[in-house]
Amino acid sequence: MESTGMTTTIAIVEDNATLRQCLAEFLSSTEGHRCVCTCGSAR
Amino acid sequence: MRLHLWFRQVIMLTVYKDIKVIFQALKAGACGYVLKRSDETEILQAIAEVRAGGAPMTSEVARMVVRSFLELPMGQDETGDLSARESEILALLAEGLSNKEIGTRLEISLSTVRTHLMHIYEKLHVRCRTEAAAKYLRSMPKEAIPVTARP
Repeated sequence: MESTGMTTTIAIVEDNATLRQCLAEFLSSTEGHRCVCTCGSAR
Repeated sequence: MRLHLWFRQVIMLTVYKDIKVIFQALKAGACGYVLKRSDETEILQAIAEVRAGGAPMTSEVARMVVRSFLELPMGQDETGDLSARESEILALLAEGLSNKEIGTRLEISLSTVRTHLMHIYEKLHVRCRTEAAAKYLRSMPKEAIPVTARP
């Protein structure tokens, strides 16, 4: 997670694909947040 | 595992309330620990809090961390060398889950579970899952032990 000006860019690491997608859609739809990356593992 | 990521801040969003996992995450660089049962507002608040320099934790988790400092006997941390994944598996093992159930829960193969268990046994200097579970439970504050695993 990184703040750039007024926007917080977010990367999501979540092994559950459904939850990963839900989080990404939720955060991207929220003002001031931008989801730039989603992945199922940090490795 | 140290969180050598390009991100500046890392928030754990997880179902795990295991004090060992919590500490490992924090030691690895996480600056927040939020349970998945948190609602949308709480997740956004956690992000805002981290952005403001805070360290958000679900209140239940924060209480466990505080209690652990009060109650965890010094020098009895026998599971400290385990990785976060190994700690997760050991916690599930201590709850009484079979290898297959652990694999299903963590979405990993049975052979991967077995490999992790071999590493756990080596690190804990034990020979079987029962000894590993016993050693794990001895290292835990009483409140952190799952009800199903208590004698």
